[in-house]
Formats: sequence, C-alpha cells, structure tokens
Amino acid sequence: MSATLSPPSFWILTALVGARRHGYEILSETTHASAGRMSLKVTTLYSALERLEREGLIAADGDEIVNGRARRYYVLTDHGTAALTAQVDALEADARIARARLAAARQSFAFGAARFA
Amino acid sequence: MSVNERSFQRLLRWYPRRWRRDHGRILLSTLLDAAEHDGRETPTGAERIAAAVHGTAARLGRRFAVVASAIAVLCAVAGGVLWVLASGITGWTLTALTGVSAVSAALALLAALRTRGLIGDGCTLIAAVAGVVALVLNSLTAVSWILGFDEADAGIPVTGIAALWLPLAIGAWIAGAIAIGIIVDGVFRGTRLQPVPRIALSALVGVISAPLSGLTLFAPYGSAIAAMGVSVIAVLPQKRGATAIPAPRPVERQVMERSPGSHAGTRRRLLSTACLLAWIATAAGILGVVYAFTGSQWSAGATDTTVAMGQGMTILFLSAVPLIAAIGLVLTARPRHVGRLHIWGPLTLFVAALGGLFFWYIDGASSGDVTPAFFVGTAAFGAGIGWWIIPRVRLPRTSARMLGAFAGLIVAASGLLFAVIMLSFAVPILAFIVAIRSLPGRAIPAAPPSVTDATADA
Repeated sequence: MSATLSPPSFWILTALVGARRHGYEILSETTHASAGRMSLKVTTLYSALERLEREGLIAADGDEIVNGRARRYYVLTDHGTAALTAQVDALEADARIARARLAAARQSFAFGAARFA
Repeated sequence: MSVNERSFQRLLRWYPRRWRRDHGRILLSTLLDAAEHDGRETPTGAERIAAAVHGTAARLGRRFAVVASAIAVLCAVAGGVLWVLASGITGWTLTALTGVSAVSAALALLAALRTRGLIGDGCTLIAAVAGVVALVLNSLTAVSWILGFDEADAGIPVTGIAALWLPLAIGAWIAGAIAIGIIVDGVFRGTRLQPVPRIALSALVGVISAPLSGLTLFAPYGSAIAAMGVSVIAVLPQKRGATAIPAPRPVERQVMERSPGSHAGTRRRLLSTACLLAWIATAAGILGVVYAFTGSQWSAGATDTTVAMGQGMTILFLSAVPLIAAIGLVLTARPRHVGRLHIWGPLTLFVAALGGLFFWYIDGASSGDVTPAFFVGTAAFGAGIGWWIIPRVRLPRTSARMLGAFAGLIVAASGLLFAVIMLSFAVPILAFIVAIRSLPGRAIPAAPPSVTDATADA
C-alpha cells in the first residue's frame, strides 16, 4: 500500500528527528523548520499526535511538570523513522525528475535561441 | 498581558471526560504556552473551532464504536426475532428498529474508521451528519412507501408524507453520496492519487454506492452484519512498530530493506498480485451486476428477470473469490500481528461460505428450499467469523475464544449469510477500493518484523 505522509505529519516527524520534544516545542520547531509554511494550531497538533501515536510512528516518552505546566514528551519510533525516510526518498526522486526535465527544456530553448540568433 | 486561563479551560468542555483526564492538562498547558508567545489573553476563533471539531470527534472513539455496534446488532436481531415470532408486528416498528440499527451501524463505522486513522476529525463529523440525515430520510422514504401503498390500495388520493416518496429518496441519495464520498476520499488520501481525480473518484463511488448501502443497511440483518464487522475493526490491534528510538535508522537496515528478496520486495510483489486480483474481481463484479439486472434481455440462458438475477448473483459470488484472495495478500503484506494461518484460515472459510451460496443458488434458491449446501455455507461463515475474531481481539485468551465462538454461533444461527447475498452487490466497489489501495507504490514504509519473524530469525 503506497501510503504517504500528510504535510502536518511530515513536519511533526521531522521536528522529532533526533530529539525528544513536548507539544509546544513541536509547534515551534515545525514553524521554524518549515520557514513558516507549516503553522499548526494546538488542537490540530494534538489530533495529529494522537493519530501518529496510534499508527506507531511516534511514542509518548513521559510526562513532566515544568514551571507548573504539564508537558508530555514524544519521540520518533523506528517505524516513524522508516516512514519519514521513505517519504524523503520519494520527494527526492520526484525532485530529480522535475529538475532533469527543467534542465532539458532549458537546453532545448537555448539551442533554439542560438539557431535563430 | 496575562493569559485568561479560565477561557482556555472552557475549550476542554468539548472533549469527553476520559480524554480530559488523560490529556486535558497537557493540551491546556500547550494552549497557554502558545497564547503567551502570541501575547493573547483568550483563544482565537480558529482555536475554538478546532477544539469543537477535535473534541466532538474524540467522543467517536473505540468505546463508542463497540457500544454503537452492539446497539445496531441488538436492534437488528430484535427486529428479526419479532418479525418471526410476532406475526402482528407492524411495518412501523420494524422500520424504527431497522432505522436505529442502521444509524448505529453507520456511526459505529465512522468511529472505527476515525479510531484507525483512516479519516480525520472534520471529515468524521461531516460524514456523521450527512450519514444520519441520509438514513433518517431513508426511513422516511420507507414510511412514505408504506403509507402510499396503503392509500393507493384503498383507492384514496396519495397525500402528505405518502406523496413525498421521490423527493425523500433523492434527498437520501444525495446525503448518502456525500457521506460515503467523504469516507472514501479520506481512505484515498493515504494513496498517491492527486486531489482532483481522488475527489472525482470519491464522488463517483459515493453516488453509485449510496443506494446500495441504503439497501444493505435496511435489509434484514444487513446493518447487523455491518455492525459486527465494525465492532471487529474497532477492537483490532492497531499500533505498529511502537519501539521508540530517537536516533536515525541504522545504515545496515536500510541496505537490507533495499536488497532484492528483502521484506520490502516481497511486500511489493504481494501487493502487485493483490492489485491484479482486485481488478479481476472488479471486472467480474461489474459483469455480475450488469447480468443480474439486464441479463434477461440479451442472455439466452436467462429466461426471465428472476433467472437472470440468480445467475448474476452466482457471478458475484465467484467474483468475490479473487477479492478475498486480494484482501488476504494485502493483509499478508502488512506488518503482521497474527500469523498467516489466522489470515488465510478464516478467508478460506469465507470462500467455502460463498461456495455454499453458489450451490444453493444453483439448486434451491429459486424454489425457496434450504439445501445442505446452504447449511454448509452458514456453518463455514460462522466458523470463519469466529476464527477471524479470536486471534485479533485484545482480550485475555479465554475471553477472546468465548467472544469468537459466540459471534460465530450467532452468525450461523441467525442466518446472517442471507445478508452476504445483499452485500455481494458491493463486490465491484470493494474490489475497486482494494485495487486502488494496493497499487504498487515507491514509498512503502518498512515493516517492523513480527514477533514470529524475530523468533524465527533468532
């Protein structure tokens, strides 16, 4: 089954690569890493976190109280890492194809322009 | 500027108590963090709407799916038993029981799909509203038909709700198509289909399958069998690969997964075969439906519409065999929680049940006689349902065996195999969905090895 990650899931998993983070950190990290293109609402984030946890792509890694506020930390699972890796490979493959076609189009345009010059 | 914590706490009221107990403090803290960062005192409009959607949808969880399924089964069985035991039961009572059963089954299905992550919260709520509207209009259509029939029979003019049969039926069709379209679109979102063809396909499936689904859910035991299926889906284990590691995947494993003959390669081959079988089932299923409804006009073997319907049904039973095989291959290709025996064993029994129906339709269905082939099919169907449930429910072993055995007995004793006859019209649609879902893709996440595999490897 060729399952792909939705943009929020992609950026949440990306935010968790190599780091254990709580909800607000994930929000900040997704906004920062995507240069503002992915701005999640808090409730949307928790809806996505629940779904990703159910699918085994992330796992809760303990609750802590910091400055009187409850934090739940999440980490990437091996299955989440595999899913993100597969998605990145697919995106890179798509980008390679598009880049090659653009380069070919530019070359033929330059060749045509040279003939008419 | 200080944050008004009480206004954020009010957002939590949308959520069920159990959810608030487990996650409420965490969500509230994050909401307060975000508000402090933005310099806000109160929630934004978007936050209020998102909390309403997410909180309401959170009520449609696994527990809801199981309870609603049980209500659907009980209402359907009660209607069936009353129909047999109390010959004086009115069409109204039966319509009410069937309606409650159908609505419960539909809501249970949505809750199960949401719980398994196949559709999002917003889609769940919209589909729930559209689905309930469709089923209520469907019930009113049935009532309108009963009243109109009685009035026409008595030779009096058809008035009031009895005269609204057609608009009610069209309204039910439109609402049903919206509900099913949203569900199918949600399921297809996990595939490589682009938005425009995905939405077009979902709309097409919704328009075609809405009347068939209405017929299925309002058929005797149709909603019961659907609800039983939903309850099984709801209690199936769903966590995959829950081993938490913060570090990237080891290089050795990447090489293993890409090498020929690896798990990923095997899964791709299984899915390709499943895809081919599902397309065969789709084509054969379409042929069966077309033959059932038009065969009397062009087939020499179909002497009248009843014979054509019977022959079309036998084609549909046969077309379900490659569909079942395709489903088996898809399940085999996925990360496994149960052994292959527990996938293929029940599926083989389902094929045997279809065989029973096939021979019953050839021998005695037209005369209404129940032949030994039908009894064999019923027993195989009950045994298959029981076997499917036992290794998959997250219950202690004894409880799981009891649940499976009881479910199998109920299925066999109540003649639920009759519902399969109505469901067989859904074969081409189901086969089409399986074919699309099993299209070989390039981005298949690697499956963690099952306990059995790990033991075998060791």
